[in-house]
Formats: sequence, structure tokens, C-alpha cells
Amino acid sequence: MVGGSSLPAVRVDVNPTQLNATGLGLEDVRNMLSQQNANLAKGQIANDSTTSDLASNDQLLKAEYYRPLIVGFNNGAAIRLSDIATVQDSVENIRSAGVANGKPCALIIIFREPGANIIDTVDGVSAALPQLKAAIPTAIDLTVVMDQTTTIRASVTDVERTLLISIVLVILVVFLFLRNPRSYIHSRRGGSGLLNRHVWRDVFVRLQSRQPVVDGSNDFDRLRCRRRDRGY
Amino acid sequence: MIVALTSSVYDQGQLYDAASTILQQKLSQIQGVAR
Repeated sequence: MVGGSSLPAVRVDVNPTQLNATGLGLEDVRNMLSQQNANLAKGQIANDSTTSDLASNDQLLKAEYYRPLIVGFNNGAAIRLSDIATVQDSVENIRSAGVANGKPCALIIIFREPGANIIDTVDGVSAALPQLKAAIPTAIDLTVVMDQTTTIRASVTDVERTLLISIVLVILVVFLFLRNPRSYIHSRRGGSGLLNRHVWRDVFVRLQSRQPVVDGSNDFDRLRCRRRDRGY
Repeated sequence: MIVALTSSVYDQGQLYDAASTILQQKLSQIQGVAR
């Protein structure tokens, strides 16, 4: 969305006192302006078989082209627009303003698409900024005045750090409550600790084989199945 | 995200013109930008 101003336009401020003295009304001025700047074909050239429109580039785009336009006649004297009004280059809507660091500006407010990643989007826009600067006149300065992802990025970094700390803490606490580190290696129940070679064989067999391992095919599995069948 | 266009040469109307006719089209092509 673009804000802070509006598209360029020509503004005609009519002085009603001067207008009244010429015997014309505001409606005359309005009519004249809409007729003078109508974007229509100027006429036609026709013969028996063909009709061609005549077009011309006659659009009045600047205030200086409007000033000499004749609004009407008073006692044989032509009344020009500049006699009864001030005409200036302005914008369509003068009741919108934008200021950045105390300077008048136009603002582009960029919204994120629903469901899009805000950080990726802002990264994309930031990466495209040099190209955007190249596309407009060099006398225009393009500056990012607000970027909400600064705090979002900080939060994400914080969450990542917290996650790492919590992982380390969980590992430390588990080790603390093991009391005896050997119990981690030689688990009592069924001897299924880290040093049991049957456990490792089972792991490797399961990793290597493409077929599902048949229950009870080795010592570890036999123990596991027995325990399962007994309802442990 | 807000981007501001300032200039010591151009007036606000021309800045708005550049923003809406050139930049808006280019920005809307970027992945994840809504409008």
C-alpha cells in the first residue's frame, strides 16, 4: 500500500468574488475544464466505405497549460482561467500527508501474504531494495523506516538459545539422578544396558535388514517378547 | 515493513507517482508480499 500523498494533479482554486464580477458561475468553470481536457477523438474522416477517427495527444498535464484557457467572455473581452483562479501543480488529495524524519515523503507499507514467513518476506524485500533503488530516479532516497522483524528475530534467537540450554539441563539432571553412572551402562533388568552385545546386535540387525525381524530371533528379542507376553 | 521515499528535488506527488507506478508493481512480485 502506498500512502503519504496522492497522484499528481492540477489544482484550480477559483476566487468567487472575481468570478462573480465577470458574470460567470462555478458551473461554467467546471464545464469548461471537463470539455477542454476530455480524452476523446477529435473528429472523423469518412468516405463511402471507411471511417477513421482523428486522435491527438492533447491532454493538459501541467498547470501552465490550464492558465490561459478561456472561461467565457465579458463585454467582448476573453476571461482566462488565470484571471479568476490560481492554478497550480498539486496532488489529487491534499488532505493526506507523510513525514519521515521531518521531511515530506511518500510511504510504501508492505504487508505479508497470509501464511507467509515474515522473516523470509522481509529478507526478500531487503534483498530487492538495491534493484528498486535502481528503478527510480537517483534523486529519490529509499529508506526502511520500520521493520518489525527486528524484535521477531530477537525472539527466535532467544527461543533457540533457551531450547539448547534446556536440552543440556535435561541431560545434566538425568545424569545427576542416575546417582551411579554405571547403572546407565549395565542396566539391571534383562541386562539391556549399553554394554550388552545382544542389544547392539539386535540394533544392527534391525538397521541392516530390509525384512522385519522375526520376534524372538535373538537373545534380546526373546527376553523382550517374554516380558511383553507377561504383561510388563 | 514501511519504506519511505524522500527527495530534495521531487515533490510529494512525484514521489507517490514513482512509488505507486514503479515500486508497487515490483514489490508485489516478491515472494510473500501481499499487495
